[in-house]
Amino acid sequence: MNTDRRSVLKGLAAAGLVVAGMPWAQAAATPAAAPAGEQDALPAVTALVSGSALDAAFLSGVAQAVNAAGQGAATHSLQGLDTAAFMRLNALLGDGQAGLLVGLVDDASATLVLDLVRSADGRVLSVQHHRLAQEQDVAAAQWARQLGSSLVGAAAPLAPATTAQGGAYVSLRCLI
Amino acid sequence: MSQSKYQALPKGISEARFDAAIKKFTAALGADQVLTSAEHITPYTKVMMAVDAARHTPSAVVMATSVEQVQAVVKICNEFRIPVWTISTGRNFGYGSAAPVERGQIVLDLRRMNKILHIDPELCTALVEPGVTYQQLYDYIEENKLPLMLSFPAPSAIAGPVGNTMDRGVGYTPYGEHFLMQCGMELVLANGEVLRTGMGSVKGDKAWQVFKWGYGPTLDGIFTQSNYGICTKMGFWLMPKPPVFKPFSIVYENEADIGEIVELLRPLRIAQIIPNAVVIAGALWEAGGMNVRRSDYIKTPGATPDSVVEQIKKDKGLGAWNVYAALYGTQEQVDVNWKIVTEVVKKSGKGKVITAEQAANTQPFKYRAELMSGVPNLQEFGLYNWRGGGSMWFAPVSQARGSECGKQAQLAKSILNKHGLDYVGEFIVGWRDMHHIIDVLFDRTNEEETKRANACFAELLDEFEKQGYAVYRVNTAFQERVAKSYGPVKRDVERKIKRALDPNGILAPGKSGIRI
Repeated sequence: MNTDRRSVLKGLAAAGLVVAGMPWAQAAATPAAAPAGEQDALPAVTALVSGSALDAAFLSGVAQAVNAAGQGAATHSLQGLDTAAFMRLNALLGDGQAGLLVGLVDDASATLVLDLVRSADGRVLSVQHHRLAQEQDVAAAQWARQLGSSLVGAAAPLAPATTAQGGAYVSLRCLI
Repeated sequence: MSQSKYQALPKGISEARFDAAIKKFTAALGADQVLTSAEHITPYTKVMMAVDAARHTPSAVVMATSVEQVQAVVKICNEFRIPVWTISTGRNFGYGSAAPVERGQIVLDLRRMNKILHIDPELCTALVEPGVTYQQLYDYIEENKLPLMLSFPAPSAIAGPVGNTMDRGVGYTPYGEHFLMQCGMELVLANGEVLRTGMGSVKGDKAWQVFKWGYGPTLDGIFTQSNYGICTKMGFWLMPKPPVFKPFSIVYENEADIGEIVELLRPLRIAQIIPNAVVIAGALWEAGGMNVRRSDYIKTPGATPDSVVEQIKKDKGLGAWNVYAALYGTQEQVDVNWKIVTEVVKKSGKGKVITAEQAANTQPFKYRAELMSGVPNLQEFGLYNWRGGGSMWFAPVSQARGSECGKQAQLAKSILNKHGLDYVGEFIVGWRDMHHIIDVLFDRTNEEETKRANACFAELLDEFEKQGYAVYRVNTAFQERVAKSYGPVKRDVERKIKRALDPNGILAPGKSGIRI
């Protein structure tokens, strides 16, 4: 297991996220009890990542916002363009359940995800392209955490990160 | 842009008139099959081309679930003079994705027409609706344990046979020339009539999927890459699954080897010793398929230096050219052909043959072998991570001659490098032709690089045309330009056919440069 995966796992464990589509991890969490009346405020959330150094930070941001709303979230990893992972996502999108899909993924994965959302009659609420030069930096992790929170919370969207020649990412927020 | 409540309006149509058309679409199809909100329209806009998204923004999306609903859509389009761009699965990624050729066209999405109507395991034929995906067909064949094999393009799992064949796409098996394997179409014409090609119009016929030609002029071809009708059913041939499948690779170290590679492969391909659509892939194409990012190796902008490409080759075990081919048949047949192939390679004194056992499940051999054996995957999408999501496929055709392929590869590389981009290319070997596929990859977050990519694509078209080359297929932003390469007489004939079949010009005006 590489460093990225270990850090993602730590992040997931800390956040108590349910992990789906990750052959390298099995985890489960019980959503925190939500105050009465808040259950309907946020549809079931699924967070998408694709195996980057920012996965853990992004997922912790998602978890923070989801837990604040008194819910749990599922995580779906699309690492390595694994066909089975995309087919599982396709099945998830087509299960007839309403849900919020948030993600911070690479370009190839984003292209596929948005197309699967289209095919599931989903709505694309936001798509942003980002460039981050130092993905291992604390500042980048902090940005990814904030991004995760803002995508779930529908707060004012963060401005796209645009560092020339940095790693390419796509953030997305879709309603199924 | 106007302040319309729609994301775009069809050319020459007022908002009030479009309101009326939307009302009729809704009455005919149901409210859930007519989409106009920005949130629904966004995934139908252009994804990868180096042009402004606004140029390809649809005004609405309508979905049909039956031939009758397609007829209803066509009727309303005629009444209101609304142009309609039809998609099957909408996964034509390198050539324009789901977005229409022109701003304001409505998209007719047929993905809900997704029935596998018939598969005959004895005659090895299929009849499907437009929304059927290759993954769906693969699952059906596997679940029913049918002794059949599919042929599909690289985005195999999610693309579909109707869209790919109607766009004259290719795959990697012996049935890789997909239009050659197509047999029988059902089309809704602009006047609402339903045409069945080949034997399909004969009452009581059972030969629709086995005899392509029918009687009189064979019409199928004019409906591919065109806007003369909407395909609602398509038949095609499936390959019997062979008892033995033997994929292999031949690795060549030098770019200059391309000529010799082609001369070596052509006789084997024409004689069907190697029966499948062989691929000769460049180093960076293979690196992309392994999800290598340019930024893993170099941060400075511009064309990737040869020294960096050499390092990638070394790190990933790639050649300058990487041939992928396969043998199919009984053990005896495969053994005989394997002996012929390996002796030819040995005699040439160049190229390292790699078998599946030697490759041992590593990429890119693994996904290449899957594509050649009809197993879908999504691995080649890794190309889109090379620079940052921008992609336009430049696909000139050439003779299967070493001198021609070498000339094309050199010309393409020099133009791409001049624009600060990389040669990411492969040749797909037809029986006597080459589909030279070059992915013009760029960073879509970089406005300056995006402009460069667009200028590069235009120059590729211009310079190749000067040498007598043209592309066989192109993204929607350049379809008008490419139509000019094929000359005025062909365009005039196409226009006359268009005027005869679609006098109001409602079906995808501008597709392949064809209008009334």
